[in-house]
Amino acid sequence: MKRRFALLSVIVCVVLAAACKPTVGPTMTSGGVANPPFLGQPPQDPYVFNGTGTYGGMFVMSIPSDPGTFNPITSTDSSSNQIIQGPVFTTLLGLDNITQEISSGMASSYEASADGLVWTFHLRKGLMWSDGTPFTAADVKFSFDVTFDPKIDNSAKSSFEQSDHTYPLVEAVDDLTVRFTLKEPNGAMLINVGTVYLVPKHKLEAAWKAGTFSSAWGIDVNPAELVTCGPYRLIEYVANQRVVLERNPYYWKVDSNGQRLPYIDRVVIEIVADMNTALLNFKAGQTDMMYTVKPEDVPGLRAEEAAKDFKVYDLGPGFNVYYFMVNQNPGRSEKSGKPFVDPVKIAWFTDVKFRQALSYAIDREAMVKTIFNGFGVPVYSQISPANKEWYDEASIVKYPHDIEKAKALLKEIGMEDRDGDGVIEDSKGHPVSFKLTTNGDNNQRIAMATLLKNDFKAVGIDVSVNAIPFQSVIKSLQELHDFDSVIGGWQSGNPPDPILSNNIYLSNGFVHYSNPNQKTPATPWEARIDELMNANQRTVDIAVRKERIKEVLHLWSENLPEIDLVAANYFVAAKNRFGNFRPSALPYYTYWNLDELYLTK
Amino acid sequence: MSIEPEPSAAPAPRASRTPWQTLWLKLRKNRAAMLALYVLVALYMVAVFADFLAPYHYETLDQDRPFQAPMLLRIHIRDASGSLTRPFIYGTRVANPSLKLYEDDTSETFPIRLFGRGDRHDLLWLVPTDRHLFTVDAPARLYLFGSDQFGRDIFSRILYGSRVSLSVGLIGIAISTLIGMLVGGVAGYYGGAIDFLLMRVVELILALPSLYLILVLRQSFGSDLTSIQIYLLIVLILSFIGWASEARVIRGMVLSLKEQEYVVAAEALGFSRMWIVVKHILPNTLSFVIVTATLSVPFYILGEVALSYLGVGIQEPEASWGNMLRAAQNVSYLTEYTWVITPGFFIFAAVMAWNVFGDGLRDAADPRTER
Amino acid sequence: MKTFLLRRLLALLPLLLAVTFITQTLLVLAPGDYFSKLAENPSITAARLEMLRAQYHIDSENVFVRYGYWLKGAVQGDFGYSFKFQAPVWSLIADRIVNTLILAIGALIISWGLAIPLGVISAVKKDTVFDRLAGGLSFVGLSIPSVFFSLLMVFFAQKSGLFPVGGIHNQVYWQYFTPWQKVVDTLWHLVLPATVLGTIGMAQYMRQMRGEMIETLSQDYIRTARAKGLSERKVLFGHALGNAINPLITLFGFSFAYLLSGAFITEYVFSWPGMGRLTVEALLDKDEPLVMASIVMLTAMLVVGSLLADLLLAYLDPRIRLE
Repeated sequence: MKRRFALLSVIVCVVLAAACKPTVGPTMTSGGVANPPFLGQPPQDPYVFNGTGTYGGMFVMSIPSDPGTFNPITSTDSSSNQIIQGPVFTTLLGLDNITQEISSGMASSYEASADGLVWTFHLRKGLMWSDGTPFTAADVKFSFDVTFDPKIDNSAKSSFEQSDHTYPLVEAVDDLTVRFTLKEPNGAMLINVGTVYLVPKHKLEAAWKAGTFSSAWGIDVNPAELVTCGPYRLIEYVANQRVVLERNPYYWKVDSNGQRLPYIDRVVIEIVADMNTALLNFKAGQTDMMYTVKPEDVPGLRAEEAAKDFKVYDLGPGFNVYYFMVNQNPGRSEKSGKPFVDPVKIAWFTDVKFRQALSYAIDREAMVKTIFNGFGVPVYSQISPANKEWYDEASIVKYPHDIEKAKALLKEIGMEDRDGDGVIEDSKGHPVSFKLTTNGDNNQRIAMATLLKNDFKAVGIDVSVNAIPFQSVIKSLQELHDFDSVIGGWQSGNPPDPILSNNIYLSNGFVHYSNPNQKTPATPWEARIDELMNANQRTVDIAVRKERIKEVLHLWSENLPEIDLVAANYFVAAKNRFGNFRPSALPYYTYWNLDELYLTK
Repeated sequence: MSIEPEPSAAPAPRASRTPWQTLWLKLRKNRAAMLALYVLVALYMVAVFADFLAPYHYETLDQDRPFQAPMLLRIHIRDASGSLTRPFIYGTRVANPSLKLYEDDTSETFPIRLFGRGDRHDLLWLVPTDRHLFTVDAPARLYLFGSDQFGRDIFSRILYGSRVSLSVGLIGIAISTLIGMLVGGVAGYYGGAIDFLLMRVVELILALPSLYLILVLRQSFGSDLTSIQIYLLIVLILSFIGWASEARVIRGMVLSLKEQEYVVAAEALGFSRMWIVVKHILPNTLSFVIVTATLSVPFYILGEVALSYLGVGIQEPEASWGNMLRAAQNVSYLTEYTWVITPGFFIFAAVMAWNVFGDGLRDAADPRTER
Repeated sequence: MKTFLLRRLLALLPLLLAVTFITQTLLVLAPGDYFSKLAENPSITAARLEMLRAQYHIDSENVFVRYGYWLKGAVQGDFGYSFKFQAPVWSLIADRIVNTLILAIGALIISWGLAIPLGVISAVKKDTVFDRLAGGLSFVGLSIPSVFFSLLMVFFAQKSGLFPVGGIHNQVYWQYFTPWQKVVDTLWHLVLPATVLGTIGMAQYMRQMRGEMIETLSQDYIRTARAKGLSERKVLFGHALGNAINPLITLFGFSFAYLLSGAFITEYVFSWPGMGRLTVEALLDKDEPLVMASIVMLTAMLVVGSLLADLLLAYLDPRIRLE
């Protein structure tokens, strides 16, 4: 009796739970009428989007973790940035992800003085915050003032810092004009201005004066207080579950018919556990877009394209580059006085022919095939081929997989297998064997290590893989400098201007990991790269800068401070219901032009 | 997990048989336990001879054959004409490289050779040889349980992985039992301040959220270790957590044992206390200790699996059952190439065998079940 | 009784101090910190990293300085802000602990709901086919590694489409659900992870229940009851069950504590937003304030769980006095 009841109740529970699989939901089609409606008038000289669309509907996407803050100035984590930097807040300038060129934003125009020291930005007339308060130059000045405040940490600040550790002078000349006065020309000025998101003085000045700006607008903010200038404003945030955005009724863009943007009424951003869950939700039709799809998931997803009415977009090589690097740091540890790297090994590692031999030994095509399911390209420079503005194929020295060439180069520097054990020895008889460090939590890098080990074995070099936690890898790179070789990756700056990667290129840069923090450049080519990059830092003219970058690319790929490996293709997926959909491999991939998207069904 | 049998375990000796003989006789009557014992012996033998039994080395990869499906059921014993022949497989070719689909190429057959040549290895860590129990000729590859992302043989990796995953249990339990007996024995016998102090330490360790602590420990001592060192570190960390519960129970037993006549007698004869603990008291707890130890082996096996699955245990390209399961973290691998979870069945089998065997051992060591 | 409670709770303090100190030491020893991950961004500068480390008080390599800083805050009830979430750690933990409780209770219902009837039947039908089958199954349940079992369940969910593959709610429609739909939706997400988590416990308690029941049924008073001519049902449910179940009650407290702290592999595989995953991720990220607070919470839960077990036992068995 009891048994029957117990069994029955379990069955009932399970069946009930399975059968009541909820299917109700709001309608997500577009209605043609903006709801909530727009308020006030658009600026007299609005940003005009060259296209049209229809109003209404809801757009649903997911991100893999909670935002850390809604404060666009202090935000550093990618979840917060993904939500607020763009959809909710904007900057003085914009970036067209397709052409990768800087466009106008809340400033309709700007000019620089001939010496590059004075920059003037003109705001559009009649801009409003999302609460209807006029947007003026004072708000811009306020945003830059908090950004430059030494007590407030933010990622935009450091790129404005001048050689005497001061920041440019920012003045509100009148309600519509902002002027920056610099002490030295800054080639990255426009890019830098485009990284400072604008916040309302009337809401945040009190917090700044009270010294609590860093914690203002945290995730517990009252949505009504979060006054925005982007296409959307925050309606609701439930930790671990979702962020809901709604149209900013005062947004400053219009389309070519004079209709105001954005078209889509509401944006729901689900917070999911990880990208696996995000993918499953997308497949189940619960979300509209995947802003990234892993190459290994592509075939499975493509198989369902027709049945589920979505499309997977191959955007070509992405901007992130994987590299392999041997330690070329001849220094000694200050603490123990011991050399960072075994002197025998440093002799190999600092020999450019050895590095070139390694590069020839690597089968990058196989790497692309095995790890990225064939979706990727070999790369031989720190700049990915995805970078339309700065990549220059002709300047780059390439190392296609060639075991014989690798062996010949090794033989040239006296490395060959003399005792027949399958491992080559250097001219002094030391077997060529070293450690390869990478982070064990990253499956792709571990896979690369496995393949590199196999590739190097083919030319007689013995490599042992040392997989350690990510933080340990970074500590080794930045502080201990005690690794033999390492696999790492570079994210791309946005916009992908190499001027943002100075720390990698300059020999005194602290992320010039092959031999960081050099007092004077160790090699002539490092000296030359320093010279070129420093000149670029002071040059405003893009054409001049590009010429210098070409030479940098050549020196880099010829001398191989790091051996760049591959760039995976960037994939996104979206339901077939979006107008003006122009995905890009730059953030935020599918929705960088969120204000222009509209629903077609 | 309750791994503590009734503490009244010291079996009453009979005149005719030693306690061990009694135990063995009783154990032999328990069919399930004996079956588990055979399974365990088989598994551990496989681990010892892994390099010979596996057709390939665990690192041997073939980048042209990622995620090839298991061939266990595609070994043919009849040739085209239908007559019996030595087992063979067909060559394969790639039908769809991005979906990882392969098809048999029936124009070529590759017989399975006994004692063929393959990757070099040291049989029993001593005899260098390149012979394997069974192989197929190149360019074909025999993937009994399928291949992984790199075209490595999952079957071979499971065999090599068994060395790690199975020995973790034995070594771990040896270390923690040793510590547990010593600490428990000393605390129970000496009593007083020593007892108080040791038991507070034991309580502290028992109260720790252990798996999380293991994670922190692993991060603290993570960098720059060889695979052997990582392995030892994992065993040590697991034993560090594991000894406490044993120490506590042994202390309880020692407390009751030390009042017994022979201990009192030994004390009267002037033997040192340490001597008495080691020579007289601890041996009496032995049958209990063995039962507890057997039943705790799964904790170590599962501990290694959990750590490696989370990416902080045994690292690629080394094979262990836990890190092989990591491939299944990717849901599309799990659904498209389901054979990547094969190691799970082996973990299950090993843990189950230890549990059943330990249970049988407990029954056999329990005087109340004597009939 | 009161002194007992007081003493046990007081004993929690040194324990927490020890545990947090050990954790802090290990965190300091472990190389790198939360901000290490910024190192792959090419525009990061050394000065910015230094500033961040100073701002978040993780610049000192001295364990005592770091622990002192943490303890000073903790004593005043300020456990700090999570580096990653920029929110007070307790608000994060409070969210997650509810989810973990849901999972733990689900698992408890499954494990106890099945273990007691199955154990009783096995005992009554000792040495029959049913008993053997249940015994065998209990070994399976006891032995199946939760990683593996969870993966099998995810596979099942994905292939059959009957159950969600992960998470706790249907994220999109959750806000539009009626309360009843919310309950059903949560249950629907709960079934698989709770089954995985409940299975291990079920196997164990079933075996225990069977043992206790067999023992009880062989007692004199049961024989007396039977001799009096009481119906078998009355003997079983009226006399035997109540006595046999007592020793298991102690396990209840422990199992609860175990579920709260031991669920993390299941949470991890099923993307269940619980304490376990929060802690593991905080550990891997080295989000120190969150790690410390989670460890405090988990330790406290373990202790309270075992305390609960003692109290339950004392309540059920009047012979036991808590002093």
